[in-house]
Amino acid sequence: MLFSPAITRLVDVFRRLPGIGPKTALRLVFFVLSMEKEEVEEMARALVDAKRRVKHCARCRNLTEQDICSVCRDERRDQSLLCVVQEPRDMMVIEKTGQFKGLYFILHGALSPVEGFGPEELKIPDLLQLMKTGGVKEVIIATNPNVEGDATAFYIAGAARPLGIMVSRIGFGLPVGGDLEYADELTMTRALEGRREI
Amino acid sequence: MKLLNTRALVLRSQPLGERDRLLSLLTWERGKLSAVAPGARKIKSKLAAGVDYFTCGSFLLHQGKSLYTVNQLEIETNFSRIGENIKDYAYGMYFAELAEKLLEEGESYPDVFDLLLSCWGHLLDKKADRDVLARFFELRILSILGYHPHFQDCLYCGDQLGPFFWNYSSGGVFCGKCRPGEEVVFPFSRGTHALAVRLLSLFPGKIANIRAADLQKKELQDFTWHFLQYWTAAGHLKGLSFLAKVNNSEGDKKAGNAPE
Ligand SMILES: [Zn+2]
Ligand SMILES: [Zn+2]
Repeated sequence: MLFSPAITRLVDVFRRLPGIGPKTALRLVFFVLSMEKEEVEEMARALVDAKRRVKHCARCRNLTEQDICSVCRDERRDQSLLCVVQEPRDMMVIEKTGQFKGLYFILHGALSPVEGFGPEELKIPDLLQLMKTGGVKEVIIATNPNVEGDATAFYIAGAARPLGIMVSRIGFGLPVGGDLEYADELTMTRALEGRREI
Repeated sequence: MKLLNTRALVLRSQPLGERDRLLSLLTWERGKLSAVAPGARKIKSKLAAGVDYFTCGSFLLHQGKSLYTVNQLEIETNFSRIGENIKDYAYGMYFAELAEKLLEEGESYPDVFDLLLSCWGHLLDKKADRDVLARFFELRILSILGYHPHFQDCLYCGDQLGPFFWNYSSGGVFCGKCRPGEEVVFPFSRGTHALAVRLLSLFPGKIANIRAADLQKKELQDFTWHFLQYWTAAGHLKGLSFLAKVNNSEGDKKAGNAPE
């Protein structure tokens, strides 16, 4: 074997990360080996520490170190307005626009046979509970503008309608098919402004 | 430069790295093939809308060493509104998954192409019973690919009257007299038998006229799902697991366990 067992093992570990192929993994391993021992230890500790401390907010499923995240605890935010997103990074894109003053719910995915995500995996029952008891009057669904994101939006809208909650879907300015995390602030602002009831 | 201009249906569309999508396409000319749609994850991509699920388009593909690359495309029919109903969505994805799992690369399957195109169309216009449509899709793709389930008469003695039964390895139905002694068998009632025979020879345009009782749908579904597992290499079908999850959570709602 060309490399020692420890190196091979580390390459395998890096390869589990998204978008990392064998060549990139090997490059990262060589880089890690060239670092100071203290730096590498710090890195390893940061990994374990983050994993140990960070959990889902009990209300919105945002990533947080508390039971309830800082967004949900912010009393200046409008409790009656709820924005549903697929991923924490989508929430960050919307936060950057500064246009949205309500609260969020993060699904951590979209309804998808391919990914194996059904309503339970996305905690949609919890979302509906929140709509029922959390004083929510309007829900804006900001899932990705593609087939999986749309199916998720329609499913949530169908479940929210009997609760008498207005449900809208972001739209204007968003072409069909892309991923929201790549939307710039201007595109996202227009998408929020151009939301339509579904 | 090798270029291929072809009609194609999108069977699978997955993110590939930060920018691209990896597609499995069912093309008219060359059957199933894999293609990269460069930049299709970007929100402003011109390709993005045409490389999503439930798309029929005209694709200009460049043939590389191991993969094709999408150069241009024009959407012919967009079936994405199938996603407005969660069960139609589940079945539409399941049809694509089944085609993707059962077809071999390097062979052309114009009949499967037409079948999938027409079944997506039926899901979209909502006139057909979606469970009957799903059984139709399963039976027809199986029969196109040469796994012809035997329904006409008893596999062993040719009895045409029934009542019929089947078991995991029978590949069709047998009568009460020919039923293997010790083995577990499943019922295939007269109505189910009539439905199965009808679906195997039906003109696709007529599917919207077919209605079936719940028992018939259930018995035929049990047959086709076991047939797929026993006789084909389809393996675990994600579309069916998803459908079960959706039905479960609907059951919870009805039982009052979940809000709505
Ligand atoms: Zn929160
Ligand atoms: Zn017989």
